Amino acid sequence: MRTVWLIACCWISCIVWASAQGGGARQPRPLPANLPETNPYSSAADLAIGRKLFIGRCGQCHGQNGEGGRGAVLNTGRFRYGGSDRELFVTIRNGIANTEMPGAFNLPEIEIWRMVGFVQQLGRQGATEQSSGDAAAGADVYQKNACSTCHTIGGQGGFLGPDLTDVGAKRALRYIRESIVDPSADISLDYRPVEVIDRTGKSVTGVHLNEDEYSIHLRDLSGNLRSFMKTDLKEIKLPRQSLMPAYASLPAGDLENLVAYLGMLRPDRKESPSQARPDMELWTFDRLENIGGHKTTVLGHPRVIDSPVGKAVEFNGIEDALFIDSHPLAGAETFTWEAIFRPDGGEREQRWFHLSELDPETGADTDNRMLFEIRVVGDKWFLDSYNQSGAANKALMNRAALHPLGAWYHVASVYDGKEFSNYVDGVREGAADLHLAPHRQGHASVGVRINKAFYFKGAVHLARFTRRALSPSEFLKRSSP
Amino acid sequence: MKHGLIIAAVIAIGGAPQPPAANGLPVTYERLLKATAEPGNWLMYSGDYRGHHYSSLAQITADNVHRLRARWIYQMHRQKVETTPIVVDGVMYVTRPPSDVIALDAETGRALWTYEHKVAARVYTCCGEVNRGLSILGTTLFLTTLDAQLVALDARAGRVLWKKELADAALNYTATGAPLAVKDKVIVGIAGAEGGIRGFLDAYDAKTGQRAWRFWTVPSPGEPGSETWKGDSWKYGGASTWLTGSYDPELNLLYWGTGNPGPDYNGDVRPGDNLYSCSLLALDPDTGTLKWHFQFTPHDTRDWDATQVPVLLDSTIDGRARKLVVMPSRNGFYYALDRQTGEFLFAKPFVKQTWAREIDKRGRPVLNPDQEPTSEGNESIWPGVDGGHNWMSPSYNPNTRLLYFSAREERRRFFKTDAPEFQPGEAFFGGGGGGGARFRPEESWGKLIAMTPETGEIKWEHRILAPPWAGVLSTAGNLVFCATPSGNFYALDARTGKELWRFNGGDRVFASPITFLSRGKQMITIPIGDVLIAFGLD
Repeated sequence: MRTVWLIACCWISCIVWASAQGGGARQPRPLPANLPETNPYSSAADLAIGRKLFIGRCGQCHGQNGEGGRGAVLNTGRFRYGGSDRELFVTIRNGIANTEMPGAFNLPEIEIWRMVGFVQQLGRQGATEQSSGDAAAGADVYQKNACSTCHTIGGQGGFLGPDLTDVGAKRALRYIRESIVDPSADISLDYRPVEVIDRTGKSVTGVHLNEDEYSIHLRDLSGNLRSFMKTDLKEIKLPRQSLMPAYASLPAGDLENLVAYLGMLRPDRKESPSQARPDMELWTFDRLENIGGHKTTVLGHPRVIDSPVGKAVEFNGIEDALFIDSHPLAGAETFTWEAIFRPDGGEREQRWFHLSELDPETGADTDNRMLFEIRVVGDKWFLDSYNQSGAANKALMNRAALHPLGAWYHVASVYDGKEFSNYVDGVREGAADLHLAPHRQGHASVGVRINKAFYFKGAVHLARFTRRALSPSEFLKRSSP
Repeated sequence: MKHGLIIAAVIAIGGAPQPPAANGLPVTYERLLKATAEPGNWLMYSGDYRGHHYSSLAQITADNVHRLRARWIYQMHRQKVETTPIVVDGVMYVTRPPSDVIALDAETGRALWTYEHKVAARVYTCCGEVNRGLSILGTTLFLTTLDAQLVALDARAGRVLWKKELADAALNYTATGAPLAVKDKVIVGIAGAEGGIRGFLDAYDAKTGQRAWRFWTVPSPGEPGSETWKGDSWKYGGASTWLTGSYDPELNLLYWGTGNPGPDYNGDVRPGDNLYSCSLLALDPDTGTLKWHFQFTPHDTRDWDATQVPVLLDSTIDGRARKLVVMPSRNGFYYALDRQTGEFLFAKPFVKQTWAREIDKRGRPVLNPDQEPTSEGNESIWPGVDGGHNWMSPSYNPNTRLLYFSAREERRRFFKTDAPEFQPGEAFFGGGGGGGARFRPEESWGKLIAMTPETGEIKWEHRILAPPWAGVLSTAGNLVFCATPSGNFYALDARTGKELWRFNGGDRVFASPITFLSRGKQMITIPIGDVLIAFGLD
């Protein structure tokens, strides 16, 4: 028994940076108040330090000169999550959800800015990463070699190997080339091979999914999910060889064509707007004219204020509102909608955040909508979260969950494909089973309902839209004022 | 009625009963001195002043532990619950991140009152918004907060009696540890050595909140030890005091560990030993006077704080009776010192370590070459940045005479950047130490060690999958309790290490188990993930 577990220890994969008082979950802090648009630390000396920081922290995946590798290429000047100083700051600081890119939550702002400066410098190389191959011919190579038995592109294919839908954006061409010729050189963390051998000598091979002291779990080569108790096993092997065969003997022309084909797989080249969207969108309410990169229309006189949680936009409850040219959850089959806000009282019913679908033909609002509302009761308030798509709709309202006015709160609406739930400060307040079809494109209003009724008195600091159901531990952290 | 049961139980176990007031209050200093005589209660962070984290309760034994079942769960809805509760006569006082306190009915897990501390807007923490627990004296609970305050609460209602700012949270001073009540004072540590603080240990009058003394863990120019710093580096030299220390009433000495010097990974700006970082301090609790110090890792550049629980025990080494203080250090060596004089007795590695050839006769490491953080990253260093051991509680069991503690075997990558400029309120690392490379199973695992403390000999060890963050509880029931990062809470035979029981709590564990009596029956609690779970025999 012990021998089994001496062999089968878990693989440590997380990238943990600084850890004086212990590792574990790293929590994103709210973005700094007054986060500038342009890098305030971009002198030659700053860039020199930024280079060292980059080499220590980023170079292993992105290449010491931004040439890419396991991580995205950074020397072309094209940045998938935005190339402005501010956007790069946010990407470095918060990481990218559902990728191996970690956030640098606990780094000083100055060090992040210095890295931003160096990354911009890398981008100015303007390198073009081009394969000499023919992408169309590469698609045939992909087909001929039955790559789709194990890999998926755009929802088509098998799942024994990594999804390649956006591999061109995530990996450098040379890394893709190496992965074809020598797949064992660097195995994706989620696709590590494992072989278990039971007491009768029977062996099962597959992808390592989970493991603890007593059990181990894998997806076998036929795609079955398998679970084994370690007491039933004679041996567990964690081979250094990838499950993928090495295509070292692929003719050079075919290889280059295949690399060219995989390299062009980037979601932002796809036509469907919903697929082109990033998984997460952050709106900071630190200005009026532009929220989350979208143009706004200002009603009344909302104003940008400094608050204990950072910049926020304050609404007077009478005529102030912002209309934003985006429905950030359009097309989302599952989602988490979070906001950090401060209700200040006023009218009993207030609809302060509204995402509304627009009819593509008429341009008019349909009934499909998502709302954050509040009800004011004396010096307290409670949350009302509403969701509608077609005939399905639900209002989650917990009248007993009263909170004092005038304080900052984190609220969330979460939909996991089956259940719609809402939270205040990470505490679940309501839930209901619901089938919600994704919304089409639309727009948003903050401070009022989309039809300019039920104005909101209070302030909004942040909103985040994630295209999956987050657990409370993944929620935005509200700095407590 | 409940009190009656508790008294009966205490008498049955042989301790001297104390006449309880309502809910077993007040908890006098005399009771804290004899905390082990009240095994039904858990009166301070380590269970007693000696840092033993041991219980003489023996209802749950190696023979019946297979009947242990979850009895209740208290939901915290918070990340990284690192707290160790206090239990007084059926009431459990427990903290919740970031700096809240809840009084729970220990029998049912139902909340009796809640105190929510509003943390200041701007708080920098290196490692999560955690809190590790409380101390109690009289009828008052003492809480340190993330925004570096000491709060005194009435234990009966959770009302604030007084608040005291320890230091300026905007300058990255923060507090995460449980205070220690000694006589009429509350001893309080500080955290923030990743943020350019100058560390200290404070004592406050328990009644008034007046500060009685402060010991700066980084001396100012002219003071002894100041020669171990250069220029202004002492001003933000770190050496925090973020974990609870131990106390010897006979010697009247307080033992408290200190953290890393700052900046963590680039030592070029602070040439010298950097006293009193990564050290154990022995202080007079009445005056804060330093009696002796011992530095485990001079001029640390790998974030190896010496903020582990100092364990006090009396034994014989080389035929000579000794009052010992022992500590498995984050640097991978186990140390035994004479706690009267600070004399170094011996050190022995308990995990794989690559940085020191040996610890010499004076207790100073003889360094191996090429074990410093480098610009491009040095991947050859064992143990990792989180150390061979860390803040999770060890346990000393007087029956088996073994010291039990969690150990972390791992190789990690350490790098340094240019020496950072100090900026008030900003983090101050000068590099990093972490993953980066994808380490194989044989480069990262965990274990629970049972050690003969007089020799450092490992009697047995229990291997687990990954380096743990859970502390250890040992009991007179011949049991050792600990937990794994995969969420398994488990019990071993304290004599042999044989596994007897386990429970999958479903999330990582960053805490230490404790035990107590509820209505006369022994229970065990441990935070797993974001919940606190209580177990009892079915």
